[in-house]
Amino acid sequence: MLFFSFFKTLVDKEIRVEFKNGVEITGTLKSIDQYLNLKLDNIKTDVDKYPHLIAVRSLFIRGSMIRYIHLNPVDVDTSLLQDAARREAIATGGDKFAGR
Amino acid sequence: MSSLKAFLNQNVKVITSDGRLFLGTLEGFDQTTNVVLSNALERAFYPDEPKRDLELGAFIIRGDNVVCLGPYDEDEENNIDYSTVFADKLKSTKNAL
Repeated sequence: MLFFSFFKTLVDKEIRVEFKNGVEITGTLKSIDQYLNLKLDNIKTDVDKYPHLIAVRSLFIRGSMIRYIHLNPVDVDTSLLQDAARREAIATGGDKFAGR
Repeated sequence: MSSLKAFLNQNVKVITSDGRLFLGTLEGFDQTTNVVLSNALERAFYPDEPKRDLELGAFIIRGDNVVCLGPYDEDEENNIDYSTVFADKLKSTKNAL
Protein backbone atom coordinates (compact mmCIF):
# COMPACT_ATOMS: atom_id res chain seq x y z
CA MET A 1 0.00 0.00 0.00
CA LEU A 2 3.06 2.26 0.23
CA PHE A 3 3.00 3.31 -3.40
CA PHE A 4 -0.73 3.85 -3.29
CA SER A 5 -0.16 6.36 -0.45
CA PHE A 6 2.84 7.77 -2.29
CA PHE A 7 0.83 8.46 -5.43
CA LYS A 8 -1.94 10.03 -3.36
CA THR A 9 0.59 12.71 -2.38
CA LEU A 10 1.09 13.44 -6.10
CA VAL A 11 -2.56 14.29 -6.82
CA ASP A 12 -2.87 17.57 -8.76
CA LYS A 13 0.77 17.30 -9.89
CA GLU A 14 1.73 16.90 -13.53
CA ILE A 15 3.07 13.46 -14.41
CA ARG A 16 4.06 11.63 -17.60
CA VAL A 17 2.88 8.07 -18.01
CA GLU A 18 4.49 5.65 -20.42
CA PHE A 19 2.35 2.68 -21.43
CA LYS A 20 3.67 -0.76 -22.19
CA ASN A 21 2.89 -0.06 -25.86
CA GLY A 22 5.32 2.89 -25.84
CA VAL A 23 2.72 5.68 -25.92
CA GLU A 24 3.47 8.55 -23.55
CA ILE A 25 0.79 10.74 -22.00
CA THR A 26 1.31 13.85 -19.90
CA GLY A 27 -1.42 15.07 -17.60
CA THR A 28 -2.48 16.19 -14.16
CA LEU A 29 -2.98 13.29 -11.76
CA LYS A 30 -6.57 13.42 -10.53
CA SER A 31 -7.03 10.14 -8.72
CA ILE A 32 -5.50 6.78 -7.99
CA ASP A 33 -6.81 3.50 -6.64
CA GLN A 34 -5.45 0.33 -5.04
CA TYR A 35 -4.52 -1.21 -8.42
CA LEU A 36 -2.59 1.96 -9.27
CA ASN A 37 -5.17 2.76 -11.93
CA LEU A 38 -4.80 6.47 -12.64
CA LYS A 39 -7.05 9.23 -13.76
CA LEU A 40 -5.42 12.12 -15.59
CA ASP A 41 -6.88 15.49 -16.60
CA ASN A 42 -5.80 17.84 -19.40
CA ILE A 43 -3.90 15.09 -21.15
CA LYS A 44 -1.33 15.82 -23.83
CA THR A 45 0.02 13.30 -26.33
CA ASP A 46 1.78 13.35 -29.64
CA VAL A 47 -1.46 13.61 -31.65
CA ASP A 48 0.36 13.55 -35.00
CA LYS A 49 1.85 10.19 -34.23
CA TYR A 50 -1.11 8.79 -32.28
CA PRO A 51 -4.39 10.45 -33.33
CA HIS A 52 -6.32 7.86 -31.34
CA LEU A 53 -6.96 10.12 -28.38
CA ILE A 54 -7.96 13.27 -30.30
CA ALA A 55 -10.62 15.25 -28.38
CA VAL A 56 -10.03 13.30 -25.17
CA ARG A 57 -9.31 15.52 -22.15
CA SER A 58 -9.45 13.24 -19.16
CA LEU A 59 -8.31 9.68 -19.22
CA PHE A 60 -8.58 6.59 -17.06
CA ILE A 61 -5.43 4.44 -17.29
CA ARG A 62 -5.34 0.83 -16.18
CA GLY A 63 -2.46 0.32 -13.75
CA SER A 64 -1.38 -2.98 -15.29
CA MET A 65 -0.71 -1.28 -18.64
CA ILE A 66 1.78 1.24 -17.28
CA ARG A 67 5.50 0.73 -17.80
CA TYR A 68 6.89 3.97 -16.33
CA ILE A 69 5.63 7.05 -14.56
CA HIS A 70 7.92 10.03 -14.98
CA LEU A 71 7.76 12.44 -12.06
CA ASN A 72 9.13 15.89 -11.51
CA PRO A 73 11.98 15.46 -8.96
CA VAL A 74 10.76 18.43 -6.91
CA ASP A 75 7.51 16.55 -6.20
CA VAL A 76 9.31 13.59 -4.62
CA ASP A 77 11.20 13.37 -1.35
CA THR A 78 13.34 10.36 -2.19
CA SER A 79 14.93 9.98 1.25
CA LEU A 80 11.49 9.98 2.87
CA LEU A 81 10.27 7.43 0.32
CA GLN A 82 13.29 5.21 0.85
CA ASP A 83 12.73 5.36 4.58
CA ALA A 84 9.06 4.51 4.23
CA ALA A 85 9.89 1.62 1.86
CA ARG A 86 12.33 0.24 4.43
CA ARG A 87 9.83 0.55 7.24
CA GLU A 88 7.16 -1.22 5.18
CA ALA A 89 9.61 -4.00 4.25
CA ILE A 90 10.38 -4.57 7.92
CA ALA A 91 6.71 -4.52 8.84
CA THR A 92 5.66 -6.99 6.14
CA GLY A 93 8.72 -9.17 5.55
CA GLY A 94 10.55 -9.20 8.87
CA ASP A 95 14.22 -8.21 9.14
CA LYS A 96 15.50 -10.15 6.15
CA PHE A 97 14.77 -7.35 3.65
CA ALA A 98 16.19 -4.59 5.77
CA GLY A 99 19.83 -5.59 5.24
CA ARG A 100 20.43 -6.87 8.76
CA MET B 1 -10.76 5.77 -6.00
CA SER B 2 -10.30 6.23 -9.71
CA SER B 3 -13.76 5.07 -10.55
CA LEU B 4 -15.15 5.09 -14.05
CA LYS B 5 -18.47 6.27 -12.62
CA ALA B 6 -17.82 9.83 -13.77
CA PHE B 7 -17.64 8.59 -17.39
CA LEU B 8 -20.92 6.62 -17.38
CA ASN B 9 -23.27 7.33 -20.29
CA GLN B 10 -20.64 9.48 -21.96
CA ASN B 11 -19.09 8.80 -25.32
CA VAL B 12 -15.68 7.31 -24.71
CA LYS B 13 -12.63 6.09 -26.58
CA VAL B 14 -10.99 2.90 -25.38
CA ILE B 15 -7.53 1.67 -26.38
CA THR B 16 -7.02 -2.06 -25.94
CA SER B 17 -3.84 -4.04 -25.33
CA ASP B 18 -3.69 -5.25 -28.94
CA GLY B 19 -3.52 -1.62 -30.06
CA ARG B 20 -7.07 -1.22 -31.31
CA LEU B 21 -9.31 1.79 -30.70
CA PHE B 22 -12.99 1.52 -29.82
CA LEU B 23 -15.54 4.30 -29.50
CA GLY B 24 -18.90 3.96 -27.83
CA THR B 25 -21.19 5.03 -25.03
CA LEU B 26 -20.03 3.70 -21.66
CA GLU B 27 -22.97 1.73 -20.29
CA GLY B 28 -21.27 -0.09 -17.46
CA PHE B 29 -18.06 -1.27 -15.85
CA ASP B 30 -16.83 -3.23 -12.84
CA GLN B 31 -13.83 -3.30 -10.51
CA THR B 32 -11.71 -5.31 -12.95
CA THR B 33 -12.30 -2.63 -15.64
CA ASN B 34 -14.57 -4.85 -17.73
CA VAL B 35 -16.51 -2.30 -19.77
CA VAL B 36 -19.78 -2.38 -21.71
CA LEU B 37 -20.16 -0.04 -24.67
CA SER B 38 -23.29 0.64 -26.70
CA ASN B 39 -23.25 1.87 -30.31
CA ALA B 40 -19.64 0.77 -30.41
CA LEU B 41 -17.31 1.38 -33.35
CA GLU B 42 -13.86 0.11 -34.03
CA ARG B 43 -11.71 2.80 -35.62
CA ALA B 44 -8.66 1.82 -37.62
CA PHE B 45 -5.98 4.29 -38.75
CA TYR B 46 -3.74 3.60 -41.71
CA PRO B 47 -0.39 5.16 -42.68
CA ASP B 48 -1.49 5.84 -46.27
CA GLU B 49 -5.28 6.03 -46.36
CA PRO B 50 -8.02 7.66 -44.25
CA LYS B 51 -9.30 5.96 -41.12
CA ARG B 52 -12.13 3.49 -41.32
CA ASP B 53 -14.91 2.81 -38.81
CA LEU B 54 -16.52 -0.57 -38.29
CA GLU B 55 -19.88 -0.61 -36.51
CA LEU B 56 -20.13 -3.22 -33.80
CA GLY B 57 -23.27 -2.45 -31.77
CA ALA B 58 -23.15 -3.50 -28.12
CA PHE B 59 -19.69 -4.53 -27.03
CA ILE B 60 -18.02 -5.86 -23.90
CA ILE B 61 -14.28 -5.48 -23.40
CA ARG B 62 -12.68 -7.68 -20.79
CA GLY B 63 -10.77 -5.63 -18.21
CA ASP B 64 -7.33 -7.17 -18.81
CA ASN B 65 -7.40 -5.79 -22.36
CA VAL B 66 -8.18 -2.19 -21.48
CA VAL B 67 -5.18 0.16 -21.71
CA CYS B 68 -6.97 3.46 -21.22
CA LEU B 69 -10.40 4.93 -21.50
CA GLY B 70 -11.51 8.54 -21.73
CA PRO B 71 -14.56 10.58 -22.68
CA TYR B 72 -14.15 12.75 -25.76
CA ASP B 73 -15.56 16.12 -26.71
CA GLU B 74 -18.27 15.53 -29.31
CA ASP B 75 -17.95 18.96 -30.97
CA GLU B 76 -14.17 18.82 -31.16
CA GLU B 77 -14.37 15.31 -32.58
CA ASN B 78 -16.90 16.33 -35.25
CA ASN B 79 -14.71 19.24 -36.35
CA ILE B 80 -11.74 17.05 -37.17
CA ASP B 81 -11.05 16.43 -40.81
CA TYR B 82 -10.13 12.78 -40.61
CA SER B 83 -9.43 12.55 -44.34
CA THR B 84 -5.99 14.04 -43.63
CA VAL B 85 -5.21 12.02 -40.51
CA PHE B 86 -2.88 9.08 -41.04
CA ALA B 87 -1.19 6.94 -38.44
CA ASP B 88 0.55 3.69 -37.87
CA LYS B 89 -1.13 1.00 -35.87
CA LEU B 90 -0.50 1.23 -32.14
CA LYS B 91 1.82 -1.38 -30.72
CA SER B 92 0.53 -4.15 -28.52
CA THR B 93 1.29 -3.88 -24.81
CA LYS B 94 2.46 -7.47 -24.86
CA ASN B 95 6.09 -8.25 -25.71
CA ALA B 96 6.41 -4.72 -27.05
CA LEU B 97 10.14 -4.42 -26.34
